[in-house]
Amino acid sequence: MWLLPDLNIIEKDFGELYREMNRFFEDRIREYSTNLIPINIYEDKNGDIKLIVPAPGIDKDKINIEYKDNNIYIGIEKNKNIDSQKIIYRRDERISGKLERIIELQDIDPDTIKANYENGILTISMKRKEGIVKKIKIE
Amino acid sequence: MRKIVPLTDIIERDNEYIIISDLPGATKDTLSIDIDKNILTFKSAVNLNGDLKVIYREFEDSFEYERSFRLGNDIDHDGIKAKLENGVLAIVLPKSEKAKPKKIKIE
Repeated sequence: MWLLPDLNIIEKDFGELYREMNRFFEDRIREYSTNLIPINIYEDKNGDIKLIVPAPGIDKDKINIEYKDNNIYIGIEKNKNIDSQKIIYRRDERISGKLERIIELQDIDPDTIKANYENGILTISMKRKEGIVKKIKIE
Repeated sequence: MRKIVPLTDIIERDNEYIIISDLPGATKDTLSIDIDKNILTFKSAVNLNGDLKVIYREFEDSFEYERSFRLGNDIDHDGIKAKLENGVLAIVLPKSEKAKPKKIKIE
């Protein structure tokens, strides 16, 4: 006879409302994680642009950022880094695999694009293109 | 502050469980882990925007991660260890001696 192992770690029971909320948030996060890389865009006091991307547990060399024709491409490859030792997944929610996103940003100076990865957050900062003012003479 | 339930894997090995949770933006200073009456809870407040002006937003930038799990009786509480790296929390929960698999020798 086979005895199935007990599930020894179970979620704290906060009642149905809490579970309902959990599901709501999990669905939201899952939606972001599976479909695309979520992006927030900010502007600082100097008018510089900052893109913030949550990207937990990524090796720096698995992050690829490119710029072409006003488009910023972000490619992230996430591995779960589990060794080959015999393991059983009791819960498997975290996303792995390749995630990609292209975002269009007008009037960006591509020479100023910088990226930083810290605490699982990818930050891409850049300056706006200096405005070129040209006076048109009426003939 | 809005609560976010972080995506979490739980792995079982012969000698231990590992809780692995994605907490982008959490730091050692903001993260807390505690065990109360066999309930393990980890949480971290996160503020990603500072005082920047939002141009476009797809995710919350000021929130609190929180998640709790009830621990089984087979876990050695004194041996629990945690590590936070690149926004990923790993909590190692060793099984108590009596819960570890044993090979029975045939005499």
